[in-house]
Amino acid sequence: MSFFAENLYTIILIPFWVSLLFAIGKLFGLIKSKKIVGILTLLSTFYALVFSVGTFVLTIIEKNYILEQTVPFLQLNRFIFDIGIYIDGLSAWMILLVSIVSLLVQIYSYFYMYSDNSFIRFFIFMNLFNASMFGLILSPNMFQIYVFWELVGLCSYLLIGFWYQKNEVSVAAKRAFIINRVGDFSLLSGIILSAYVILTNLNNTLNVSIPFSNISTISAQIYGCTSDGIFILICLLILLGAMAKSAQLPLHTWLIDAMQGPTPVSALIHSATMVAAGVYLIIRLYPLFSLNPIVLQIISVVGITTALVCSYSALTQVDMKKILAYSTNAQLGLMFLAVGACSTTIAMFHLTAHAIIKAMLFLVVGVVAVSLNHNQDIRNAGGLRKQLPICAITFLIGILSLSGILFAGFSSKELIFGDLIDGKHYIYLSLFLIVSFMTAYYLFRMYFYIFEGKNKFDFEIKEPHFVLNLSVSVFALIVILLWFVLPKSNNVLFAMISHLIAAFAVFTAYLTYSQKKLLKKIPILYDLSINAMYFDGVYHFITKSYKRFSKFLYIIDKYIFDGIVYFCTLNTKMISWFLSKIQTGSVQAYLAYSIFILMMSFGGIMLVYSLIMYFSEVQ
Amino acid sequence: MNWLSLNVLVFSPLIMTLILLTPMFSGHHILIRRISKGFASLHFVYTLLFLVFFNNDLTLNYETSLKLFDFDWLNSLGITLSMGLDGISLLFVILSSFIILIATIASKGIIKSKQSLYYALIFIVETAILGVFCAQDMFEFFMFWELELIPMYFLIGLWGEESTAKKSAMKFLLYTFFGSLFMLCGFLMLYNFNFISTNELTANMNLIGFNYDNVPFYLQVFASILMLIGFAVKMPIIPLHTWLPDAHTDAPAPVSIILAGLLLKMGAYGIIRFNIQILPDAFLMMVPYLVVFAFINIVFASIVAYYQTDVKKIIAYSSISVMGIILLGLCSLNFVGISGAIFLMIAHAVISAGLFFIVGIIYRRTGTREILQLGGLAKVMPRLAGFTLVFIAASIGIPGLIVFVGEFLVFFGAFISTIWNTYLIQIISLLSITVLIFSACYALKLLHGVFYGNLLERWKKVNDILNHELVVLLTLSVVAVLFGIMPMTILNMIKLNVQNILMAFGG
Repeated sequence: MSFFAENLYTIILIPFWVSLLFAIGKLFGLIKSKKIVGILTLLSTFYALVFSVGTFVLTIIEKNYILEQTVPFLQLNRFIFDIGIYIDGLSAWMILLVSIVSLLVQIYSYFYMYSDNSFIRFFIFMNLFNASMFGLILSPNMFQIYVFWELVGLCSYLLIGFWYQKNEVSVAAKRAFIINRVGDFSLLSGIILSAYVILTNLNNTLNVSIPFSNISTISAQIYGCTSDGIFILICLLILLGAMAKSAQLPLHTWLIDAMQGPTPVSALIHSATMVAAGVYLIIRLYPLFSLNPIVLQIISVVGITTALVCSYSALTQVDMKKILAYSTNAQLGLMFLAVGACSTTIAMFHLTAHAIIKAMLFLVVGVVAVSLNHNQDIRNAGGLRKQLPICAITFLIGILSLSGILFAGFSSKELIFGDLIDGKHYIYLSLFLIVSFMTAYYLFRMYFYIFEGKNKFDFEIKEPHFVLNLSVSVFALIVILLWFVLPKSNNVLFAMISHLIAAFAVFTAYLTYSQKKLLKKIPILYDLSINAMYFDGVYHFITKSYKRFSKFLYIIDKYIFDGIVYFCTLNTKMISWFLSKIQTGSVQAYLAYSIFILMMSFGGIMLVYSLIMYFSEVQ
Repeated sequence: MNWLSLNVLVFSPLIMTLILLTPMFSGHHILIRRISKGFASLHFVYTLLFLVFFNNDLTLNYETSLKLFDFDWLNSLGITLSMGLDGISLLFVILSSFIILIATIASKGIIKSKQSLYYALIFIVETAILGVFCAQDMFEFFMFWELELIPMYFLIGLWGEESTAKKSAMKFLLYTFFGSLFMLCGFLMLYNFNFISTNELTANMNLIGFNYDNVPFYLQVFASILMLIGFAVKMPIIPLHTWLPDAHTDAPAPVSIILAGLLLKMGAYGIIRFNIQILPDAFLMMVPYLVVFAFINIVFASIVAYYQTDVKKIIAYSSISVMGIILLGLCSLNFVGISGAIFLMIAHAVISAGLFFIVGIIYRRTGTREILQLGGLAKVMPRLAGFTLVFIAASIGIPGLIVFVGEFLVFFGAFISTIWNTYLIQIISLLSITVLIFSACYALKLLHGVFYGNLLERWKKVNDILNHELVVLLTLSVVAVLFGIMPMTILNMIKLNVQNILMAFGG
């Protein structure tokens, strides 16, 4: 078993090489067969799955198994920045989750993307993403986290902008990348700041990259030698990085834009793996954050606010993928809440449950949208339960679970609930229940619109490829299995409250579905929800102001910096013009000039001489 | 190693110039191009041999003094035409030869008239640049520094793509010459200082320097500022930058490659050699002000770049921004920062060469560089789009590519700088990291403006990259990836020299 753990670094390298191979093959036109691309991709991901299962089993057998392998990447005098892998229970768990989701999504996308012209490009990016995501999870220190943090961001950007011909896709990709860059900037500042603290106060050059192997000691050291303000600043900078990647308020809008990408990408990157990286980072750095209760408070507040705002925005959306995106935002918010107010383990349970469920929901939506000729408006669907029975069942399993009624989602929500009660966080608890209500509401509203009632279209539904159904079903199976695996607190109170709220939500959703205008009766609330609290307007304003500001600076550049230069040349030109005018060529004029200059200089000399004499006499 | 002679290395391009200008090649365009390419590649291989037999310790390698210019009156003034290499200059020598090789290959199809004159001028520029990097004598340095101006003027003016090319070339010439005069004054002051304190006439850069006890400190600072003006024009440091966007935009693509790749680096190299190495105390005093200039450079240029719609202007302003980061690294005056700055110079040369070449490719096919007129080109030029993606990603500092290492080291080095007790440099270095956001804004504007979106009807017949373009782009991207993954190969080369420079600042 330790063989798998010791060679786990290969799962970072192999997808990278596969991606490079495809890129070179595409550049020289060597790879023509889509089958080879698919097989190689699946093999590399399957290889990763085997190794991560092996490692996971190892960490289960040997409690507290830890392995660190590093090589120096940058070595400057006393400073060493290592890269390598770090395996403990957390990373083994996460890597298993990612490789399972990744494998299933890749099988799905092989058939989903088969007819696309840029099939190879898709898998170049997907493999690159896999490599980066594995690298991020297995990071032994903050330096490597940053390296792969940017790389997964790049892959996400490339895949959002996959259909680059559409203008709205181009804009969405750009926005997603730039908002993520704000997070990267913040994360890098945080890393540099904490490295500086370690360096100057402790003179400990080995730990400048903040290795995770002794994170608790380092955290205590940082906490011990900084003032509260600086400590909170460091934590907030790193936290902002995590918030950007996990799409938390106010940096959450990019995730909605990200839905412009292909559906398998939304399933893999923008719901299950990459967006969870922010939560993963916070869990990794929990020993640091937990030293100051204010930081934990901030994490909880950010989480619950995001959950509320995004759930509320989801209530009235009509685009299938957007509803799910807002839901992802909200669930990530709940994970933040779980880290801040409960414990990291509970957050990790919720992360796992959510990753599987949300990936499945996205894949179902992908099948549905394809059957409807890529129409994602829920109002145009309807009655699909009969045409797509497997989709309907799996979707129902997913939403039952995510609403906290049954299966994996029930267990994880139950844990959060129990812990909030134990910790006496009653405000969070009540807000959490409101979020649960809204979650159940919009998910069932979506279900009713898509799968119940009568067809609202007049063409034949194509039967989806059986592999698409198969991979969705495997996900559903995992969701059910997770129910038995995850720990249960057997909190009867939660079961009662949760089911009551969910039942009420389902009832309301059905009412909306049948009556069509429940929320529309209160226009202000409706407008707030459909416009997602006007966050896009704020970002639009920022973009516009930035454009104006850059125009302003350009004008300074052109008319002041360059203007001075032109002014100088103008002066030279005028002097030369004047001098050239003097040269008339007539002897009389020259004689006049020379007499004039002679007299002037004579007068000048006399003046200077008399002045000198005057001053010397004065002295 | 007698056959590894710096004289041959530096002056062989000049001989090549003479050969190219002989009448026997007139009219044989293809032959001229092939001979030039062949010579440039041979020259590159020759510089690589210097690397193979290089002693990586603190001694100067391959020292020579050219006997041809061995006049009594020059010797009596202490001026010699001596050359030598240490780790830093060797790095730049290899870079110069490499970039010139890339530029000669890139000239195919872009340069259509007066080919023999064009390549002859390119090789004069090569001699001048190599001379600057090898020079061990102040006045020799100055001579090579000025030698590059005239051929560059003609290269921009005669083969420029726009009607304003001649004007821009004149602006470049006068502006740089104006700066050089200050630099010469500074050199003369140094020469004088040395005579006052040691009573010995010498212009050798290794013999003069450090601290002059007999010379008032304010005069040292004055000399340092004078030299800095010369370097600041070339680097460029805002507000002395306005020649750069014009010259870069109007020059043909291969000349832009040389401008951005090598000429800007000469300025930063001069700062290392003269301001930091020869007058350390004066530099230390100027650092707080220079840091502010560096910050303005970084942020101002990267925001202005966002407003531009000419692709070449965007890249030109981004170059200014990167040179600001390099200046910040030099100002940090610690091992990490200066190593990072030197690494970033190499990185920026490679990346800007790639980007300017890509613009050249697009301009050659469409006749425009306006973002508003382009768009959707990825559909007809997928391979070029892929390469552009690599260079854009590298230029905004995506890890795993070459620029990231330099930027990271500079920001880290500037932040941990312990040169003075003020928080100024720390705050500025934190604020400078915002360039990550600004650079993403302009770089994505470029990428999306050219390659994303709808393809216009008139660009439907544009063809993808040709073989020689593929070779250039592939080479540059391999370099970008290779040194992004293995940065220590470059950093080890300059390690001892950087440490040696820092000795004057107490480690």
